[in-house]
Amino acid sequence: MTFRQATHDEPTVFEHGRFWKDAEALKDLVDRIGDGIPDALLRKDLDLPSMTEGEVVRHFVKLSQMNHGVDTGFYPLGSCTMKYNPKVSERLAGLPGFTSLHPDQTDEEVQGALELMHRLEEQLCIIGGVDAVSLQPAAGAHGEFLGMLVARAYHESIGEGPEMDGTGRHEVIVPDTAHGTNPASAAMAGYDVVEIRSNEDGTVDLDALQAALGPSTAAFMLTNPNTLGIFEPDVERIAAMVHEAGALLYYDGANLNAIMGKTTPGAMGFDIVHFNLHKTFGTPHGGGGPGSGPVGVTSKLERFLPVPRIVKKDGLFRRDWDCPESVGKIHSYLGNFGILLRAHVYIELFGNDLEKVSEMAVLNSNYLAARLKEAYPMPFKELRKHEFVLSGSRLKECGARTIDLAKHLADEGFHPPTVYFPLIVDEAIMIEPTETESLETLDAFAETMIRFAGDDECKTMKDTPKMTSVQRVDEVKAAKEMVLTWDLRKDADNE
Amino acid sequence: MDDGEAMTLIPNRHAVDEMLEVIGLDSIEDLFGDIPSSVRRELDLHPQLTEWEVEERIIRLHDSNVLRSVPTFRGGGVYAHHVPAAVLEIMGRNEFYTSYTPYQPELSQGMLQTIFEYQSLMSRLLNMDVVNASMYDGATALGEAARMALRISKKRNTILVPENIAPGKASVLENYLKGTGAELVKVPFDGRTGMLDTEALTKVVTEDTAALYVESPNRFGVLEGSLPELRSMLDKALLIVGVDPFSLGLLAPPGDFEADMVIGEGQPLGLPMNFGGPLLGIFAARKKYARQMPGRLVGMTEDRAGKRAFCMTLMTREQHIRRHRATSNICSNEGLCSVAAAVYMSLIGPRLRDLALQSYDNAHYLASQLAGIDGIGSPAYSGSFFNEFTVSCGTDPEAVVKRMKDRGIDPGIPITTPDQGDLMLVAATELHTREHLDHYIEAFREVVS
Repeated sequence: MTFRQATHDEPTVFEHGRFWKDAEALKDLVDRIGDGIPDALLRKDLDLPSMTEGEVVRHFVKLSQMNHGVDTGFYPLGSCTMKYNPKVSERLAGLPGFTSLHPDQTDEEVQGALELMHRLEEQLCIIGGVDAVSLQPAAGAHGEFLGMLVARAYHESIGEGPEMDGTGRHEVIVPDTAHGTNPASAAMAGYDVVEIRSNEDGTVDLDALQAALGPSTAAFMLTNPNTLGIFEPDVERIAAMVHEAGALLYYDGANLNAIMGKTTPGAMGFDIVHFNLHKTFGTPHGGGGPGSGPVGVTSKLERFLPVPRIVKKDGLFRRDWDCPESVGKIHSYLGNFGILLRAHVYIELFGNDLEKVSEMAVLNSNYLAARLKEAYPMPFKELRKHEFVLSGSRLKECGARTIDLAKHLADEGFHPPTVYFPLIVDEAIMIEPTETESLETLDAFAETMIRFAGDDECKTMKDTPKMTSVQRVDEVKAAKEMVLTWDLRKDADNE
Repeated sequence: MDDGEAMTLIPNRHAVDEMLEVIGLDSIEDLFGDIPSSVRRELDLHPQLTEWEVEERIIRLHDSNVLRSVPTFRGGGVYAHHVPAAVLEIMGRNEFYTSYTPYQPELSQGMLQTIFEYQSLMSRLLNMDVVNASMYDGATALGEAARMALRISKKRNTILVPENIAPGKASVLENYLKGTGAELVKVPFDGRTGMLDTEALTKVVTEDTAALYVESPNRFGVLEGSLPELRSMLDKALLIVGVDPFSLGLLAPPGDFEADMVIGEGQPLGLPMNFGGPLLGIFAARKKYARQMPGRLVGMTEDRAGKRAFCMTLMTREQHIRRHRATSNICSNEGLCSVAAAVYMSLIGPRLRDLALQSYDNAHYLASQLAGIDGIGSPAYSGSFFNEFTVSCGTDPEAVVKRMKDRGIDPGIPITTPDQGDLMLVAATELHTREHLDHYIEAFREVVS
């Protein structure tokens, strides 16, 4: 079967639309507004394109046809958990009693919304093995940032907070396999980042960790299973070492889809946990977002969570602002409610069978790994969780690289895996099939990958993709010319 | 294994043995043999539910929220504007909403061109060079803008903000600055107009000032009359302007006043209120600062055959490349909300002026009618306003809200001001009819008399 993505030479809205300059516009406006607003604050012209609804819809429908989503094909993007998103969540999230709620309506008027959030907090406490949850972070990285603020507040409360002169607990340790957001979030919260090397098994090197830990350490951020898909076997020892040093252990929840019903971050000894609702709990990824990144903590850290907390008092759900040690706010309101709602629906559907979700995600991953490990080297040990990392290094023999493999996969209708991450694997290919893909899909993908590893296919990879709406895109030109808007294309022409 | 509704979402439960054989393991449990028994935990949730059981539960929650036929008069950043059906329809396109960050441009031209169009349309609305592909919301966009100002101005360490900034926004900003060591200094406002006190401003602008943040409309709904002069009062400090994008149908864009950065809450451009999320953080800057920006940027380029194409660009700013030296930690953003805004701006186009005028007219009618009631100050500050204004109720605004709600109107947000005590912040939009407004005025007259 041949794949071909829809290809439209679709102009931009600026080429589609009609424009007219209304010379009288400003004068009309000045007359109309009178003294209401000073003339200097009024708009002179508004040069947005004018289109009919039909034209707008055709335009964006055509554009959407030139986009790969989970609903159009396999999307094994490692670390992103691109599972199928149940449609019932979309339907319920679109109900007017949710979409039309203003965030400042009084507690009595939004009881359903608050109860839903309260229930979701309780469910995440169980799944994460934590004592309290804040739903405010709008994404995983936002949750990491909140986690770091909570760590700061905790250490400040016991006189060990980081100081600008470099004293106090001012360091956060991350493994070299960490997601880029981990060090970036720690740095944003004012911490110095200390990166430690992984050992030859691809897991945390306990000696390196011990050497890095000390009175300056605020936290150690860890993903478990890690970004290689390997469960950290020494996680309890790690927790003990980190706590012994007076630091906190932070759980990056990007890989939670591997362990539900098997263990919890809390049981492993983590103090702060973020969840990626758009990954684990089946909410759509929206072309980049919105996501949601709730943060769970153990009881000793609960008092630092953002305001308002959602509490049940006298039979009513309320927003409680009376939390004197709270870090304050990190979002305008209570977080991405529409996403929280979808995640709650997902958890309601599965309940305790979330364990099956993790089992099948891990089964799919190990099955695919078993089928591919002959054709592509798989560094480190074999048993993986929900994702695994291969190396595309052998492709070099025929003059290709992992990026070429990625483009070649696109020609077969597969979204490529995550590539060149984690950084410790040469020419990394990071594959996360998720539990929602059938054996037939996994087999088709495996056979394609195996075929691509052969000499014949390998040599032609450089010329791919051909079946997508555009061929290989010139990213260097984009960075050089910086045509970041329709109007800036004139700058590029002049240079 | 039970074959309930949820299980239809997991296809391979009947192929387990076959797959285990390829893996070379005997049981599912073997896949988890590396998790120490001491940390093993079972879930204690509920048994799986059918789709209709879940619907029933959620609809029960839905029904205990209050829905009114008269659109809310609450604003403060999120407003009851019209959400065109075509916007929701495009947001609901599977190819868009089930995709992720367009890392592979060849398969993702649809999302990339849409984001490029968002950047381009928003840049025209703001009259700014460059717009990113979204922050989480207006408040976090402000936090990122302040951090960017500190990066650009290096040794300067003070951020000036208006004293009447909303407390929640100030709290988010403080958190975004916590790790920087920067100082936040509040600039007083003129108690009569509600605008920035420019005389006080000249006293606090120093060589240490990295940026001034000013918003128009501000927390009181008041437009910042000093905007045309602010740039010249700041010397080398940067100017960050906060806007309501909807108001720009009528108001001069911040780029006209030489803003260095612009932030705002994009919800009014086609997004439902959604109980405050997802929202859309607008973030714009001058082109010369593009490399200091947080978040994703899409650029226009060509493919190998010379055909127009789009891709994410300047990615060396971002966390997945630059790690702890990245301009921001942001990864997932509000991509689909920027799609909504792009569709909205294409659909409404220059008619945004008409919608803005209707909102303006409605708010001004309401304000002037309320002013006719004894003991009421409306607006409580004399500065010009767009679609939102403060009312001094002569009594506790909380009590006014409660009694107005009994009459079918959610009249506004009670706020506390430093100088006038408790006021009510009232917003009108194009959705409010003359009937709604007269109903409001009548109900208000009753509850305060």
